[in-house]
Amino acid sequence: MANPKYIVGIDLGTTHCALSYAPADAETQEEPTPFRIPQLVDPGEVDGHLLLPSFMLLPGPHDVPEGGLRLPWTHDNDYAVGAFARERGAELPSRLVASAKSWLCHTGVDRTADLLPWEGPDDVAQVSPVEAARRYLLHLRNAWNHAMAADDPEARLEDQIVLLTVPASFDAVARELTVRAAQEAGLPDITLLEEPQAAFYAWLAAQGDNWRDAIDVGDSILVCDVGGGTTDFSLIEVVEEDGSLDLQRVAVGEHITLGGDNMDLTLAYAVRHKLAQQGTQLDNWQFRALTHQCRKAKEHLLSDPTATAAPVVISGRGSSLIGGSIRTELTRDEIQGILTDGFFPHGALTDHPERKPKVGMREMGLPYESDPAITRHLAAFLHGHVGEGRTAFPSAVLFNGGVMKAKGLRARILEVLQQWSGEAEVRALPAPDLDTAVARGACYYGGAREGRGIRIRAGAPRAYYIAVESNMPAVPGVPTPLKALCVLPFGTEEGSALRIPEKEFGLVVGEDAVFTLLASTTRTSDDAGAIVEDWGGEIEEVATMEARFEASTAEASGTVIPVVLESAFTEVGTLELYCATRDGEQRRKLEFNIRETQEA
Amino acid sequence: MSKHSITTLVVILLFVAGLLAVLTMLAPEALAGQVPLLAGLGAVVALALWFTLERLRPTTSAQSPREEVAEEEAPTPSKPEQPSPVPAVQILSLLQRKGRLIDFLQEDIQAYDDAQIGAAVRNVHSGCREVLDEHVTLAPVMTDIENSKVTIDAGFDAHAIRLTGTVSGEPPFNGVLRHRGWRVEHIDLPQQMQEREDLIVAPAEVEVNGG
Repeated sequence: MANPKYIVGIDLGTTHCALSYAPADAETQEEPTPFRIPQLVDPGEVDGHLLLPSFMLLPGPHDVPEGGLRLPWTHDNDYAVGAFARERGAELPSRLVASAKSWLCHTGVDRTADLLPWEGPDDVAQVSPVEAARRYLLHLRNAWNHAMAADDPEARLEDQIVLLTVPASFDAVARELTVRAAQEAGLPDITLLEEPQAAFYAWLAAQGDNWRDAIDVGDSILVCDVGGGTTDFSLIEVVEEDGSLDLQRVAVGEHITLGGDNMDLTLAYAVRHKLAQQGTQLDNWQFRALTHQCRKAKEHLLSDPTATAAPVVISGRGSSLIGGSIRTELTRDEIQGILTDGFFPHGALTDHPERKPKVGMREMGLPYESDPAITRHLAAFLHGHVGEGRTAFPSAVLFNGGVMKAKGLRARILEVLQQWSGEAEVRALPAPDLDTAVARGACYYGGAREGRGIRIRAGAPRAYYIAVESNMPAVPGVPTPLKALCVLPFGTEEGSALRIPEKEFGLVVGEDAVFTLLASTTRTSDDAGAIVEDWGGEIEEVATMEARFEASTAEASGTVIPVVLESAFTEVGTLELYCATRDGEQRRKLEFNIRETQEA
Repeated sequence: MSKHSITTLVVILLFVAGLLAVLTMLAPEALAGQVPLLAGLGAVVALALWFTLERLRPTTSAQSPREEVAEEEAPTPSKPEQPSPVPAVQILSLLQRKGRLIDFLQEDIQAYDDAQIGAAVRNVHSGCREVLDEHVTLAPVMTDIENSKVTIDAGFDAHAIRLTGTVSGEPPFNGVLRHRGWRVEHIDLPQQMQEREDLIVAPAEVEVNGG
């Protein structure tokens, strides 16, 4: 990166991608500009939109007219991403890749294997979740280079400062795979940023210099990010450092695969049921139209508190528009019952998400949440992180994600938080435009890294551990209890490296050494080298990692050499682990073994 | 923009207004609550028709200077070259895709009651409106409030301002603004990636089961 001209923030979302940019050499932070992403909107028709739907269509020979997939920068691609892929793909579901990002953090499958579209027909060239992410990023890169760098080679995206956002709940493997997808898309130098932090940076950008008046020392800010496919919580604390305000991200939530798409689908099922009782059956085409209409009705009812009902009209499918149309409505009571009380019920702070199977709101393949109650997931998150001696209960909330555009749902979450908080007031921070906030915030963060504006002190969003066996005598039939060796404490700063001399491992030369990586979002005070024996569900397995020392002239194959672990939390935002000999002369990186999966 | 095109627009506007008036007379009580909706739809339909006619019409503003010269040299010009119908088809296609406008206009609405038509019109309106919002930047010709008193100074553009009533003498004219007019400030249509010979507004849809 010789001389970047722009700082570019990319929001690689589950349902939409967005890109914003700002000049790199500005003296002060400038309001980022959203980029209109050229994309196919119909066969052979390209238009620029602020959002690129994260959908990919893998059409068969008869699905799209010849030449219909052409883009201004390429004439021979055999797939489409964006608006047309979503629209046409809805008619060809077996050839549509959707929610690739949720697959990217699905531990139950090999995320580098060609498995999307899930259970697609034999003649579809399936792609891996990593490949899908690569193609979305490649589209963004090509679109940018076409629009911004056609006459200016220095403006090419690969030569700019690029910030890529990931959910705070993305584990080490999902982060690594995201970086890999970016590299394979021709973006070798990117930096990761957690989405809730990006949303907070967008708020900072909108506040300008006034942010210090809006929050105060002791404030604990909950970032509540409910997007199309996922829900993500983070806590940011306002502390005092050398007499000035400082921001610290103190907690991140677990990965919750629950979002606006589930809500629209649940509404659509309810309306379909209502129509069925009146004797009207819907086919798949009509049901899709119904889902779309339900989303509109939902947005209308949740933004206008005086409306008692919103019409839902499914136009006739044939050229007889009026004759074939089906008319019904969504009432306020239904929205209240299904959405507000179904997804955001009142409850106690001690409630936990229920583990019972739900039907009717999930797509096959992905492990969707069994409990749709976002407030119960929130209770579990807060219960695990706030309290005596830990973070204070949130005094402010910053909403983000498309779902949170609905005033009624924001009000409900505030109401629930207020109820849990008791006397202390919980206020909402004014949220900027929710669709592009993450991309704009990522842009601001790029400037903050260059010294323009405040940075949230964050670091590693989880504590990482390596499983080690106990020194207990083996009891036949009883598995040896595992202990966890902390290799990277929670909050380790970007760009730091650690050595863990406390535990020595015997590594057999010429054989794969396999380590089990564990992680915790709730154990925030374990130091590097600490050994945890009883973690009561607080630590979970992430993946296995492998390293191999090849036999050299000095050591014959089969020799056991003592090694210790070294860890690093990189500037990019990924975890790296190494095996190193005591003298530090030989060092091997541990690679994630993503093929060996655990059953989710 | 020629005088002809404004005349066309006015004729279309009058035609659509007449249609709406007839519709209102036929069923006054059911349409009473939907006047803004119908007016909006009327405007969309009028604009769509106008765009279509304008794009199909042989003269465009870019060509007009050359043609004026041609007219001087040869008072009876040969038949002008037909412009490409592609942009007109593209606009119709957008209005059909997002708002099902062609289906709506081609349907015989006599058979349906007003509630049915009203329900369908909601989707047509919101879809066509989306097309306009996304691709056409419209602005009123005059920004004064309708039915307020206005003064038209000398040298006004007769294409953009049409005087009605009793017009005599020289400007300035004092009058009442009855319609603010519309002006297209910008049209931004999706880029076509290939030359299309066909005139398909909406493809036929065939649902294939197996095989």
